[in-house]
Amino acid sequence: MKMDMPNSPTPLTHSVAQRPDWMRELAVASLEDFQMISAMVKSWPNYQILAGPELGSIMIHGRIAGNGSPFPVGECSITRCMVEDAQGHTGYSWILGQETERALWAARWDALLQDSAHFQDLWNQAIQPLQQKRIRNEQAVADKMQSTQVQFFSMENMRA
Amino acid sequence: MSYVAAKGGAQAIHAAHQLVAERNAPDPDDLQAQIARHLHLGIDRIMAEASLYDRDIAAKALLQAQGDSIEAVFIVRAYRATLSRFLDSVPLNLGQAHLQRHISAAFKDVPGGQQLGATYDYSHRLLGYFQNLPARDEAEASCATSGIPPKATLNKTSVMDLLETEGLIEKSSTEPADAENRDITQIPPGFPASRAQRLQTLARADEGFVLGMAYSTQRGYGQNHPFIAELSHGSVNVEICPPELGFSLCIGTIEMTECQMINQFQGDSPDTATFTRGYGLVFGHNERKAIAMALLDRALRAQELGEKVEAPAQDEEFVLSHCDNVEATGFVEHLKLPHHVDFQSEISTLRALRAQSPGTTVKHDDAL
Repeated sequence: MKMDMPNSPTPLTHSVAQRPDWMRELAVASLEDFQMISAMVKSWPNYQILAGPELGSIMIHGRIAGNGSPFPVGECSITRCMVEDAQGHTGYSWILGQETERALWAARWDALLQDSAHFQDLWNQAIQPLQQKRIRNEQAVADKMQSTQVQFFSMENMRA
Repeated sequence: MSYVAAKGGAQAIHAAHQLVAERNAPDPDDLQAQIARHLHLGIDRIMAEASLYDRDIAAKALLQAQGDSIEAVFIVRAYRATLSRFLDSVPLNLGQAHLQRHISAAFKDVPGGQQLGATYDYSHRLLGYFQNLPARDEAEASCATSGIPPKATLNKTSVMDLLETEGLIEKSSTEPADAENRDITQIPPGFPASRAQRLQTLARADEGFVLGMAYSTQRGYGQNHPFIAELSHGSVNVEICPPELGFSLCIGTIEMTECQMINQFQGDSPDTATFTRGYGLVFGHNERKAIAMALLDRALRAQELGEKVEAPAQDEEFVLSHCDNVEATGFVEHLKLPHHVDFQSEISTLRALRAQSPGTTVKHDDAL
């Protein structure tokens, strides 16, 4: 697969500590992203679906006054999925919105990334580009909004 | 009025208008996607009042309801009831939000700077205004000379935290709310309600009702004397901690609007007098609702803060029982349904009364 993003030179070791990181990138990846990164996987292990993809909701909580006790703000739709692949890895996914296809892809990728033999390649070639893309998109929005930074000057003598 | 004239910011305002215009650009997608994109503020309102964050579902409901937003809210509420609740999110950390808009009416030099974002606060309310803005290139050229150094990200240091450090505002309670009695969708709320229950009710309350009640506090029915410390809109990470995984993870972002309101000070002595807080937090981009919610949150704290409950906006039973538009529309609109038997019984009672009174011989038509 063609990767237009440079891979990070810093070596990363397979660690369960990175699982939240890859699950996050998988949770926000689009279908096109999945098609792109999945095309480079040489052999997909067989898998069976243990649960889902299932539609449901989560209750979103805020904090009173921003930093106090929690309170429920409202629900958010969510799709979850659980698969087990031939190597015995259980993959989970939790995706905002109603996205059954993406949830299945994300769960399969979660199982795949637990395979320590291929983790490094998959991390470098799939997860890192997704992460870079997400950060670029966030930065693009931030840059656009930056143009509306304003310095107001109070007019001291307005009533004079 | 208590605000001061300010000048400057023309280029930022210009850029803010460009952002609004950009969002108005035509989209070749299907109608539902167009609704979600072009009527995004209307969609946000449906998500907030239906209490379900899902743009696609809200757009679909608005289309089905032919633009009737309360009907759309009703449809989404009904649909929401069919979804299983998997779990609760970790409380949102708004301090880490990617803010698009962040302004303070209390502090000119708010930490993180005043960032207008996409707003029409400073626009003329003229039909077609955003179609006739100067070209994007010109705007960009003028922005380049705005003299404000670009920042990588907008780091939000809370104004409230600064005031709290100085002891000028009441400390917010971090006592865990009664978990059993917290969620009004699981356990019907009673009175007196906790602040958490009030905020949850207000977050999904009808915007018009909340706006009207908040307005009444400004006009003197339960005075707050409010200042907006911070009004923010941006994307916030959603974190969950599924028990089967045993760790918490971020699964994406949702857009939220938050209003931190500073209100009149309270205290027995000059040393203990502090400003009080009002808080608004709403799904999507909805500043009117967030501000009104913060005003109403503060007004509803009257009893807790030892104020007399005199105005409608301070009466939690009045506010919380009447602010839900699905409940309200249900009861008001049910009057359209056949009440023939009810009315027949009333009319026969009246006829019976008339028949008893001497000197009345009125013929009536049984077909009525």
